[in-house]
Amino acid sequence: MTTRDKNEYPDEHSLTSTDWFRRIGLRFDPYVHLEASSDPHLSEYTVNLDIFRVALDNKPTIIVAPPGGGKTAMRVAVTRTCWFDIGGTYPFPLPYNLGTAPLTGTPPTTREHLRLLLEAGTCALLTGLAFRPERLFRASSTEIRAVTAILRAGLPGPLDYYLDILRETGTPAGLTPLLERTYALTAPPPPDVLDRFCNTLATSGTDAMRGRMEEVFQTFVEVVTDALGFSHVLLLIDGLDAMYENQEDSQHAAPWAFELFDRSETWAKSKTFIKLFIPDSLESAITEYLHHHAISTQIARIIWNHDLLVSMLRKRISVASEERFESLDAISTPALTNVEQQIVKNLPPLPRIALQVTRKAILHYAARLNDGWQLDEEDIRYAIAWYHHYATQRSLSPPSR
Amino acid sequence: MLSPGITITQPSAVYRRHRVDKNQHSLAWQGTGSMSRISKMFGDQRNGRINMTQTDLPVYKDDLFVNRDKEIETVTKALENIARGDAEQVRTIVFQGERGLGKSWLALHLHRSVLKQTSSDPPPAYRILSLLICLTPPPERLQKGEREWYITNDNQIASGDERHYEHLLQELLAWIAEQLDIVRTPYASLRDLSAWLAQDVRKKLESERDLIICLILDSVFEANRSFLDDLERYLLAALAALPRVLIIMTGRGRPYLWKSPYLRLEREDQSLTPFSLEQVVEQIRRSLRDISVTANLSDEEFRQLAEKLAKKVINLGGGYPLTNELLARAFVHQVRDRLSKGDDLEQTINDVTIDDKVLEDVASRLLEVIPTQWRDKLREVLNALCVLKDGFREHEMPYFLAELRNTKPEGPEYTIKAMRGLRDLLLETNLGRWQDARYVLDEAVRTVLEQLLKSQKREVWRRLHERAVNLYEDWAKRYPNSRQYFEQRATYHRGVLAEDVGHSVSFA
Repeated sequence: MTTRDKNEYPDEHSLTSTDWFRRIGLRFDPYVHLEASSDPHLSEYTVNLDIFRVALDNKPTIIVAPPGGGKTAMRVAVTRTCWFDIGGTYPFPLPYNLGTAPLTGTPPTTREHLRLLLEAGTCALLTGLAFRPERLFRASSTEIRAVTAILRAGLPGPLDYYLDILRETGTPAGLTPLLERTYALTAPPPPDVLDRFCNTLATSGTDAMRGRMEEVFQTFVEVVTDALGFSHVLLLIDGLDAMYENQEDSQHAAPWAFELFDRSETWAKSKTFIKLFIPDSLESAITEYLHHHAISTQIARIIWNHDLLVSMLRKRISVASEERFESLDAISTPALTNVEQQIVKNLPPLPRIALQVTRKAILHYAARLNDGWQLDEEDIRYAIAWYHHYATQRSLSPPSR
Repeated sequence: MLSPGITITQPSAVYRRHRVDKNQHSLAWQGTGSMSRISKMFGDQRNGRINMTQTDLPVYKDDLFVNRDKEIETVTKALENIARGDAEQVRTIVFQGERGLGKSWLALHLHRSVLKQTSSDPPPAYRILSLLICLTPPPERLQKGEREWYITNDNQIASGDERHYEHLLQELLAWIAEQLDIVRTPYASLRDLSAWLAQDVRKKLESERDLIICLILDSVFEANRSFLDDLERYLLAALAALPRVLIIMTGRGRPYLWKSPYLRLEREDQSLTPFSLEQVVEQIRRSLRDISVTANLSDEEFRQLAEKLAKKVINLGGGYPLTNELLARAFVHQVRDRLSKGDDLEQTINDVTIDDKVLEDVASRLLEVIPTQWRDKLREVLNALCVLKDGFREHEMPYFLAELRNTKPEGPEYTIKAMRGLRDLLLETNLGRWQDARYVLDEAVRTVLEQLLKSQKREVWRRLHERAVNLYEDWAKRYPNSRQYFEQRATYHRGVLAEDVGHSVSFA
């Protein structure tokens, strides 16, 4: 927030409190999280349901969206949905961020990809199991040893180090920032169960699995699907945006994904499916390669229009109000109807911008809430003017959502 | 179909007061022809099966169930698709509807009748194992059936106590495991039970390829939201992901936003609708069939009786099965009383009207879902808003509440904050919900309350409609962007007042 903002709205800093939102009938601020991984409710307000379906299914897929168009949000929502229950047959989400791969100037080789995938997979697995240890408890002792061996083989640090962190913090949330930020799951186990989980892994008496990287990764997939009961593995590949931003040419980033797609048919046979999230600028380069090499892949595009943005804003209100109402109309003056439509019709069709502007309107309203009155036309006008003023002068929406 | 919703609370004090003494049924009758038959029909109930009072809730029986063919077809088609392994499958079906619309009867009928049959036509053949889970206690006199699980009266969900939910779900999961014959350890923690159940049900479905598990959950949306979160996490999310499990839910009021993609994406929602005239006739015919002397009426006579009552019932109650049943029974009691005085049958049927006391009893029955401590407060709010058929927003509430109280909407009782408090109470009871940009009251309840207000306090009822006309006309002028929106509403209320025969229409 700028100094000017603070001067205009001196009470704004206090608006994140749950109390304020409760006063207008919301359990939390549904517009505050512009960074998807930090939003605990993200998977509840997914509106691109067709995309959501293909992101979860057992087919190699490319998911295309413009920068700020919801790729990261979709990836995070898929991850959290897969781990929502305790031990069912959902897919295992393996988040693979190419943006964090070592910059060598050349695309990773197959072996390097496999090593990075194994590391990302074991980070995700340990974090996920710490939240849902019951999956491990129901495995046989042989299977538990296999889990331990693969964790020791793939984790960036010693398994015992991470188990110590779990014991010390008493919560699996202690691992999330270290290993996999998108695995900020809900409903952690009680401390005594977490302690039992740590002991189970620590005492299984197994060394790290050794062998060719291809075999080790294949074993990882088998452990996840056979021993732990996941239906299949989703390779949620993101971060190509970051690559081409670094290299200033999208054509240079596309080959980073080619090597992965060369293996997609082999992986599909062992229940492992690529879900590549890319900006639209990379679509033609990648699809051309796939077409040329006759690699079968489905393509889904996240296309935002004003109707979908209205749905997104309303879904957030619905979740935050526990389905008591689905529109800001509910807390608006008689002068104001179709609030969400009035907001988005003046904006480019990107969710991040719609969220920022809607929140701005609510903050404007909140500054005078003590008057006991309702959201008004003036709040909407102010927020839209704010967007037009600032959007022309600076970038409102860094491309990560 | 006779399918009134099953109420879950114990009879209220009001209800108990209205219980009819058994001796009241031993009225002596004299007469001939159809009048005589009718007299016997209502006079000989001590030995018959009908010994219900006017406001007793009817209990589900297979042969009383009519209508809902469309809903049953939805279920059977979904089962066939699952059995065939079709790629496009509906794995969750949600039946929504207002108070007394027959959701619980539908759930019972599916479980006890429709899903009992093993399908072999069309192929492939499949075997259905259906489990009924009622998130409200069973109504009085309902015999608990096979594979049915009910919340008990002293074990209800509304408490908000997480430990209580955990205990309930532990009990439920253990029961499901037992029904599916996959019992492991009933004393395991809820999380362990959940993890085991998911895997064991999957294995069972893999080993029994002709088996489809059908989970029917009744009164889901009425349950506490935290409980539903746990229910999904520990039970539904895992089962919904399995290939041959069909989940059927019923609920009233604001729906719940499930997180599992299988509960969100592969789902069909159906809103139950009130009964048509023919269906109400059938409902009345079946509900009165057991009265001993009914058989002495010719089919045609009986049909005429039912038809005339049905029209009256629909005019008063809107065709909602529970309201239909309660009103029809009250009509029948009145007919009996009139005939006992020697009146002609046809004339009696034409003449009988529902008095305020009966409507009040029906309203009380419908409002039993409101916790006792809120009932008086909400009754007043409902009375004030019942004229708003098209719904309302929070800023409209103070005007109607003040009008009901014959005062001005000024002071702390009429602030937006106060209105939001009342709104939340309404939504908590699921007698109101957000729909098409406004809050709407449960239509079954709204209809009866407006009829009652119109009958009991006609001037108040008129004042409320006049208030609406004036308010919406004023706002149409004041808010030009929403002029059409408010003008439509003003026109509706003006029309209602104009139709109110015998009263002059005057607006401020």
